[in-house]
Amino acid sequence: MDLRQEIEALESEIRRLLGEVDSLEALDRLRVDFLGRKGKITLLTKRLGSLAKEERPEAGKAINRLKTWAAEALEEKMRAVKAAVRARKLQQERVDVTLPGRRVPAGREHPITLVSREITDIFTGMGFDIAEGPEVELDYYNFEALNIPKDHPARDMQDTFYVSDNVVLRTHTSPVQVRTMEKQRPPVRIITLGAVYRCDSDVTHTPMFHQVEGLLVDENITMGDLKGVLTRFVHLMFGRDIGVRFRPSFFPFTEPSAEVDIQCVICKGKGCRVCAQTGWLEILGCGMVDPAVYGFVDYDPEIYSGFAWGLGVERVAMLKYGINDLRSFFENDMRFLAQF
Amino acid sequence: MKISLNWLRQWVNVTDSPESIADRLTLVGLEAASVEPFGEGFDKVVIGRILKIERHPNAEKLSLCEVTVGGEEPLSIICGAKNIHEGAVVPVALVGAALPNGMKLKRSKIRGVISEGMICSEEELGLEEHSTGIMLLPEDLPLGKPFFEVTGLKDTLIDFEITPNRGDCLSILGIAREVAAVYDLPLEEKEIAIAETGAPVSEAIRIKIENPRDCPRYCARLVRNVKIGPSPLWLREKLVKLGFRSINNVVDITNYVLLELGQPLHAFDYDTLRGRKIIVRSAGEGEHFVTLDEKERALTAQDLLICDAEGPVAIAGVMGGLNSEVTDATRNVLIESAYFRPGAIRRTARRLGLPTEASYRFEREVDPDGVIRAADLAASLMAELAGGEVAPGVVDADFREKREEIIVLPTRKVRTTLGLKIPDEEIRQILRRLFMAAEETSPGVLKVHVPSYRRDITRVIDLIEEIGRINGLDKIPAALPVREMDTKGIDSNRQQREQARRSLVDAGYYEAINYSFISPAWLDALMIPEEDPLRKVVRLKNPLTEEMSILRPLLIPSLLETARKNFNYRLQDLKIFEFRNIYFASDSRELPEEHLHLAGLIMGKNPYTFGFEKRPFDFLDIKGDLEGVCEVLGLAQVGFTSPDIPRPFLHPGISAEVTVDGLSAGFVGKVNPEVAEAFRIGENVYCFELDFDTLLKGSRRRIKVEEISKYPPVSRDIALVVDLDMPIGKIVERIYAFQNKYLKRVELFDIYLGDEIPEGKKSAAFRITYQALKKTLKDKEVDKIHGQLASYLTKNGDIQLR
Repeated sequence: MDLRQEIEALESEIRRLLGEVDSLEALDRLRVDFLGRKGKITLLTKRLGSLAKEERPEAGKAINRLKTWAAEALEEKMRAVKAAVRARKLQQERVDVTLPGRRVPAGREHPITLVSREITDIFTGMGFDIAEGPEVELDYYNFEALNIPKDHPARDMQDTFYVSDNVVLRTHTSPVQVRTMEKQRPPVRIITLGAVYRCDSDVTHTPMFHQVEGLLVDENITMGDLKGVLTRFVHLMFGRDIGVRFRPSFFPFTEPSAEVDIQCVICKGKGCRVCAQTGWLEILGCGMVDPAVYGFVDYDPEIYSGFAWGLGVERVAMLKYGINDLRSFFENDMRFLAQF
Repeated sequence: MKISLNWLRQWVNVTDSPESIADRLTLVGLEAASVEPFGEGFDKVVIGRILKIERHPNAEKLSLCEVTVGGEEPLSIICGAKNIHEGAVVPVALVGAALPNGMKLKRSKIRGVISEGMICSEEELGLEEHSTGIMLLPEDLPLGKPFFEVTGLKDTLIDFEITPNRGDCLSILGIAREVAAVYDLPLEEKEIAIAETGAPVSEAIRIKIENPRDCPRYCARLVRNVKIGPSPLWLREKLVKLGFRSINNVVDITNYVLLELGQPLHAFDYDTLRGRKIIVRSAGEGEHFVTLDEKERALTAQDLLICDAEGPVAIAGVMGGLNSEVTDATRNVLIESAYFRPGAIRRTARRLGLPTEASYRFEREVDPDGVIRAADLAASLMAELAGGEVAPGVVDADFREKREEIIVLPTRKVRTTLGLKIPDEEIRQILRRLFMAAEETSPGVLKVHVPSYRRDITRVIDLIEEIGRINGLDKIPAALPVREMDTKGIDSNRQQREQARRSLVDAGYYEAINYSFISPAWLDALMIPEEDPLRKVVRLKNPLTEEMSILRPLLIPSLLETARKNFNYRLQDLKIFEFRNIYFASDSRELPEEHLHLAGLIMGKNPYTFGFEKRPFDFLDIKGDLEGVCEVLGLAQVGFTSPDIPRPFLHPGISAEVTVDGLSAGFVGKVNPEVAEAFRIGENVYCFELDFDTLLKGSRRRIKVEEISKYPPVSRDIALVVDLDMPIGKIVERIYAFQNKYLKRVELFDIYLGDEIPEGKKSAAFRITYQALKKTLKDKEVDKIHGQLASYLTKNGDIQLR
């Protein structure tokens, strides 16, 4: 067989083989067989020297053409096989997307923390700063300076834990009002939050609970402003469609005083077990700061006026999350805590 | 204050429904806690007449009565009472009737004879706590008609919650005044008619007030020749409905006046008073006295006594004495009607633990102008109901300094305080409805006369509140205060607390909130020695229980308790934290120290998720979580050192002091197994507790960005053999101390003990990474530096190459 025939034979052999292979390994073998160091095409090149001198250029070109063609054909086949392999792989590989993700599971914050933050964010958004005060408090700040003298029946409203005759566990967050006003001239715009204590423990009372309290004192502040700020709060906290009403009440350190009721969030005011069929839920206490309190902090009630309010965090959390038992906040049962 | 609507309507002609009355009063500050019908649903209790009484054939003590209830056939009813007679008109419960005591009547057979109903006693009708016979009714009641309706007993009771400032509302009259103001109705004042006979009261008794501060006014009336006996039905029903027991006519009358007018009275048996004298004085320190509940009371100089010529006969405003009590034998009654200083009564009632209906009202102030009316009403009723003869006159010791409250009200103040455009005329109308006379002294200025019963109104602001509430708070338009644009910036304290909290939550911790008070026994369980500063606890004077008697000086005990509770629920793998104050007594200040602490506890194994190995927690788990907190806070110098003196509640070998800038900030470690056992939880428990303020004071990592190298890093491993107790942290320090500018990173990847390593030694393997900023480091170069590092580390002899 002369060289030309051999070249043709090789070409058709390669064509045939390319048609048969379907794996990268086989393709690789094919390349070695034909284009490798001892490959059939390479061996053909080595035989060029045995040809007559004038035949050599022609034959060399023909071999080179074959070589180039074979390399390209192999390359093309390689791409096709790779694509097929990848397609097959994509077809076969499957993950069960419903398997749980692998991670360190996050814990949870306490509902009191969550609700306190929500309330705080609403008021800080309105421009109130956060003030703090001690939980173990002087009788003076907890009572006297809030216009609750000794032997006043208003002390019955709050059963008090005593550390000594003069030192109590604060029964409300209101002492922070006095402490803040002592340190700061108006305008005063603060909220304060934290634990308060009353000597009472039954189904609806825990000896420790949490309040958020606010105080705004400035010139020309009216009860209308009080209504505006607290109505805005209720709407942001419970929804814009929730009705609010202000009902006169009594606190020794505010005058006029009021309780704020919101339309029952459970029954939307129709009457249910949660609101004792009244359609209303008592949610916070408020009022215009009593001039007597200004006397203790040396503010001139002829120039300044303001308002204060306080609300129970547990109460809000119970409404928000549908918690029935107040005591569950402090039992720290993981099955409870895990739900927030 | 519970009221009867029937009674209220004797004072003010309000026709609105009970529910609306309750709502309207709620909106002026008298919160209605309940509205309950009285005598409703008992329509099958009807009026009957006993026609014939025979003995029960089979029971000696029972009678067989023929009773007509107006129908054609009389009923046959068995009755056990003794006080019945033929012709008596009685309440009859028909078969199927519901009774106020919850009973439902069925046709029944008693000793073989059918009974077709029941003849009722007052007890069965809910009118008496205890009664002995059948209730006998007036002869003229219509037969067959519902009992509660024809007797006028059917009523509605409304219970109002009265705030402490409104002592004037602790009576039917007081509520009637509010109703009158709300509905703009007149008050139906009642004339009190008294026929006086005999020697005047001033001859029978002399009153001496030794303590006019605590007793500014004291009045007395005398009623002679009373006949003690039961009260008539109209009086009894009023008391029973409002929760009072009927005792006898004289005592019932004093309670009636208390309920109707709000003035507590005391009735003395006049003949027991020695020396025809009443002396009001302070008690002697340690003086003893027996109150009418037969208890001996020890008194102090702060208690006020009512005495006769020889000694105490009552504790003023709180309770009468056994020695002067009205009894069945009493003939002559001295009625006391007084005004005592609220604080004095409150102190005594509280100290003696003796809150009474009287002290409750005196504490909240009675009407000092109302004492005579109350005495008059009681005297006239005693004449009417007990056949008494009222002695002429009233003795009245009146030491009041101020008789009338007049307030000058600039009406502009009403508008600026409430934020309400209310005209002067409307203000005057509201004052009128509140029975406050007002004259305009100059334009926009009113001189307001406050009625004597409104003890809570002494200032302009008090009047403004009245106008606001009667006008309706709903009429005040909501506004928002205008403020300047200003901000104090980010509250970094709050922000850092949130970051720390977040870091722990992300690491899988659940937040617990425990009570601030704990049991002192828990400190014992933590094996904290008596002289430890942690024992400087704040103790409550009046704890709920001994288990809640001290304020916690550490959060860990509470977390151990939380772990215990959950452990009992078989929740034995957990991560919890608490972020609250701790307290300890201060040496220098009256108030204790309060510090914010952050504490965490992990127990058992890490929570299982698919694809993660479940394994017991160890020290490095909790340390890592703690490092996470320090990292988000950006703390630059946090240290963990083995403690010189281990904390008693921690494992001495598996615990560390945590330092920030070299200062102690708290601890982390394994809970001492003995402590874990005391709390009955598993052994594998780790905890930490940090003083958050110390963390916040710590110096912060300053962020200054370094240029990033474009050239490849090169790593070399080095295995070092050291003494077993040499801290790895020390070795790392030594490596960094080599101070080569190309040395970028040191990673521990293995600690090995065992074959090939001598006894008492360990091998630690590190991967050291070198990298240059401006060039590619050649292998040769790196080998040289790494070699220098090796000889640097080994030169002291305490570190060898493996």
